[in-house]
Amino acid sequence: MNEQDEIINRIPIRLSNRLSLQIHQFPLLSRPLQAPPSAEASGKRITARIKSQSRVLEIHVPADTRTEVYNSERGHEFGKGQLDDDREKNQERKGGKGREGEEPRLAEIRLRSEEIPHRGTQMLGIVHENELHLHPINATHQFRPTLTYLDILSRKSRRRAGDDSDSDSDDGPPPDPDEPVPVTAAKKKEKKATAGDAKEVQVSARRTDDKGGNLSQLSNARKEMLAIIRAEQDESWQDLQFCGMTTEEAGHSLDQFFSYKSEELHCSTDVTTFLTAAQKA
Amino acid sequence: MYIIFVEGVRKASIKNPYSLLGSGSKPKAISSLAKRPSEVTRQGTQKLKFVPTLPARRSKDAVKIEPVPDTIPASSNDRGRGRGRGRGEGSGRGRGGPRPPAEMVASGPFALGPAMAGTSSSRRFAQAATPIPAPSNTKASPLGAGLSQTAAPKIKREEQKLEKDEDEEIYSDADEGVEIIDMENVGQMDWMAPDSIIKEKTKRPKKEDPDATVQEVNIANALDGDEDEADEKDLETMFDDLNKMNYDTDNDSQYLCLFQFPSPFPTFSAQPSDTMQTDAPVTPGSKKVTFAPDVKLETEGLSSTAEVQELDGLIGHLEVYRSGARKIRLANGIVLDVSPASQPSFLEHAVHLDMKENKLTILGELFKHYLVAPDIDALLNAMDALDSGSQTVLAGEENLIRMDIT
Repeated sequence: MNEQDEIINRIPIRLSNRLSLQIHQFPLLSRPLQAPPSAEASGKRITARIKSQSRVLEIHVPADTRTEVYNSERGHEFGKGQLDDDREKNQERKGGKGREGEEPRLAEIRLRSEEIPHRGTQMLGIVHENELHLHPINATHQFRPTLTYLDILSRKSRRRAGDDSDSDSDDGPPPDPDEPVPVTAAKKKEKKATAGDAKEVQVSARRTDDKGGNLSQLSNARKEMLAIIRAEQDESWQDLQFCGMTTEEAGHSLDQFFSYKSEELHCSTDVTTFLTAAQKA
Repeated sequence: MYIIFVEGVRKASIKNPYSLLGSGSKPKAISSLAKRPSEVTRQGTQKLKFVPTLPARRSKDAVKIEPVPDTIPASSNDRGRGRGRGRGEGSGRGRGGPRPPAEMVASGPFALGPAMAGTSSSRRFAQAATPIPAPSNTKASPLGAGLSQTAAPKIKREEQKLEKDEDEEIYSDADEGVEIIDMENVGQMDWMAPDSIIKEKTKRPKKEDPDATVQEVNIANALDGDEDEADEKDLETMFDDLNKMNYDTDNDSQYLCLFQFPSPFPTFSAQPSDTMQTDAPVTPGSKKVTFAPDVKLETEGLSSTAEVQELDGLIGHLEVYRSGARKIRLANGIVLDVSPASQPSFLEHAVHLDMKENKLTILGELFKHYLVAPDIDALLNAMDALDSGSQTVLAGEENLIRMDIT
């Protein structure tokens, strides 16, 4: 370090922890999280809901339903799928409008969150009146659109398509690799053989160590995963009021963010704790 | 590639004229396949005619037959497009149409290499709510009408990048109902319009900034090594973004920054004399656990031992050095270095979740990420002091050799 390095600016740092702060990450590159103007004009707003025990949030952004950019037939199809999916998972919106009850439309994009573990201590800093205000962040959530309505629709179409549907199911944990090979694979092989060759080769795959679909033989890790998934599905949603950046509530929260007292806080640890704590851990 | 294609045409000949089309495209007009004398080569096959395609922007209700037929692109056009895509247009949002002549920069979070991710992804802020245009009528409309002609609100980029290209492309006059759309302006046509790929400006005004001439290694610049223009610009922004935040007192609250501190974060408490501290191990990111019987608490009742004490006060200083280095100096000799972390290119919101009132309030969008690490010199000195302080002094120690058993 250059010893002649002089300080040109010195900003006091303040700490406060009044709020319960979170960071939300969205797959948006250059646009803000906003409802399209056509939806806002018809009164739709962004809504949110949370499952606090499972630490999952959902943000619903109304979609642009103008005919130039929206396919109504598909919208109705997906809307019905979404309604069925909601009913299955017991998360149906109660008190829906009468019109929506008759012909449901997919009019919103659902973003579902996943919590990301923190590395180190994350702090949000805002420079306000020549002072840096820090505030600890509790959790970071990454949001992605959920298309669970497609699952239901594909399940219906698969049932309709063939009687020899494969044995792995859509709902619940991902297809169990221990389950027997589906019947359709054998059919394809037959067709290939009759094309040109005279010989017919029968190929069958068999698992030597059959863990089986027996629940009692599932490994512990899998049981835990299933338990977590089940607990999450059982928990019900809690609706939240979504306040954007420009609302009054946002201003109020921002006021609460800043630290106001000018007393000096007493510090009871020093630099070495960074290393010693790491050694202990 | 061109030659191979011609052979293909010969084989396919006229048995199935539709085999020339790409899969999935409906034949709209077959004029390109009709053999005109000028179009047939000496060997009798059809000469390929390059016809630019217009972006197919049709409303579902009205499919009017244009006076100029939407000619089927000859397959060479398809190949060309495929090649272009393969060349790395990033998100691949370009469609067939008048190709922008200058080089294009691929956009998207993964299209850029890891080194570039820091420079171009400076986050920006939503403009004030754009005036909501009245939704257009859904009449049957010719191509391109019925769109609101307003762009989706773009998050404002940093000032340097807002330079508008002065010379607009001048195209030939539109003839007979065909609307000429500049590919760069597609994003402004409608809320739902895709974003155009950003063109890299070939001429950038060189900035004369005395601070930027300091090219020595400094920890403030994590992207050392390159002498790129982009890096120079980065140097500038990293030098004075904190300063800028200070002087810009009007809307300073919009610069939300994420600081990643090493854990455990130093424990702070309100009153110096009367606090008792437990020795509970502090896990990363968890709240500080302190017993403070005499401290006046603000809101939450102190019922269980796990309650967090509410903090509000001064903890230290952020020092900005001439070389661009920034240090955080807290009490007890804690010195931390601040350096810019890799900037995310996606949107991040700082959000206040109030479970008591069931409210989710957006405080703002994050501007930059910073990484905070202990200053190594200070840390090692402190460790030495700690080690030497904890060792018992034996009589006649100076004659003994100290064995390091750590």
